[in-house]
This record gives sequence, C-alpha cells and structure tokens, in this order.
Amino acid sequence: MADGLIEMETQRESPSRPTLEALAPEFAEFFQAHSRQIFYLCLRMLGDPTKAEDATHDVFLKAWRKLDQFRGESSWRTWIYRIAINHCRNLQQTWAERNIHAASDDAVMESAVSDGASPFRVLELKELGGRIEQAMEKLSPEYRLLLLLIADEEMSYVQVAELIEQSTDAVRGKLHRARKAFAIEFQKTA
Amino acid sequence: MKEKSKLQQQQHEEQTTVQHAAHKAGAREFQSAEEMMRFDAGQTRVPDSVKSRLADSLAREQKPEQSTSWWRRLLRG
Repeated sequence: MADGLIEMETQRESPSRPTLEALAPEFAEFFQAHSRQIFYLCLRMLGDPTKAEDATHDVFLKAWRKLDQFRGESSWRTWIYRIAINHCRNLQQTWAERNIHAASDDAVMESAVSDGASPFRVLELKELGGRIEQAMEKLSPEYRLLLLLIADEEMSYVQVAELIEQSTDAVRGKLHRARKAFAIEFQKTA
Repeated sequence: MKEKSKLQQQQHEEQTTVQHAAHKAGAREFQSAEEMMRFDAGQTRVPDSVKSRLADSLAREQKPEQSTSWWRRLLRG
C-alpha cells in the first residue's frame, strides 16, 4: 500500500511527461504483455478496481526494481504472477481480510447440488464481471487464486502448482472443489 | 377471426425474433468457470492511469544495474 501512496502525487498531467516506451522500451513490452492478467488477478483477488489499479502499479514497480533478480528459471509470466500474489496477500493481511471466508467453503460444499461441471448460462454479459465478483467474494483466497491462475491459458498445472506451492495432484483436487464452490456461489448471483 | 389470428401470429413471431436477437447479443454459455473468467479477463481493460503512473515512477527510479543481470553473471562465470 505504501508504494501506492508514493505515487499519489503523480496524477497531474504534464506535456513533458515521459512515456513508459520512451523510458524503458523493453519493460513497456513486458507491461503490455502481462498487465491485463495482473490487473485482472488483482481486481478479482482484492475485489476493488481502485485497489487493483494501485496494486498493478506497485507490482510492476516492484518487478522493475527486481529485474536483476530474475534468474530465467521460470517464465516471465510466472515471475510477475509471484510478485502480484505476494503483493495481494500482503494487502489482504493488512486489511485483515485473509481467511475471512475460508471456513465457509466446506459448509457451502456440504449443501452443494452443482458439481461445478454444468455450463454457466449468462443472459446479460454486462453483468458478468459483477456476478463473478460476487461469487469470488464468497470463496477462500486460495480457491480464488487457483481459479484465476488456471483461467490463464498461458499457465500450466505445473506452473500453477509452483506458484501456490502445492503438488500438481493437490492442485487438481483443490481445483475440483474450487470449481464446485464457485458454481454454487455463481448460481446464487442470478 | 382467421385474419386476426394470422396477424397476431405474425406479431408474435416478429416480437420473438427481436427478443431472440437481443437475447443472443447479451447472452452466452460458458462450459466452465475458467472459460467464463477468461472471457471476463479479455473484456477487462487496464486503466491508462496505471501505465502513466508507472512511467512517472520509473522516471524517478534509478535504472536497474545492467551488470548484475543473471545472464551477465553467468557469462562472467
């Protein structure tokens, strides 16, 4: 959050304001390639567009500062996701939001009718984001994160397992439960 | 009576077509939660302010030391 506050004074427009492309062309490409997914992750993890905006800025600033620490052992996508996940977790801890819904997942599952495999019919696409948001709010941060990472086509199960520090078998098991919990909560938003 | 019935049927068909078109424009079926989120992410736009704020921040930052990058260190052995 502190990083976000640092940048509060930078909103004034100036004709001589440098662009990201002019300052760091390669980093601008990096931003272009990954910013949408990072913003989306922050948006759905934090549940607030303003917080997601600040978080995305802070994540890429941290990445810039840590560029020399990138070892090439993981993909750039995995690397920036790790920074983003840690950043969001820190924010959630700060706001005492972490685990607030964790205990409810099992209770939700017990009364589950859906198996999470049924198609989702959405009549109004303009409401989709809000409905996903509502459903995600009811899930534990772990389930939320898992679904968001798996939704990224560039991420393999192995990479997701690495990011959440679990085995691929554990990822598959948890993903099944996460899908089911999400399906139940999503139905409630209709 | 038959005339009226035909007119009503035609009106009903037109109304149904319009409703169907509207429904089709705003409706969609997703096979999984991930597919739905992928679509949602694709519709989500990163606010321009993030990029401009980042540029401002980078302008104030010292550029990372090139000589300490992992591949340079590897090359140096």
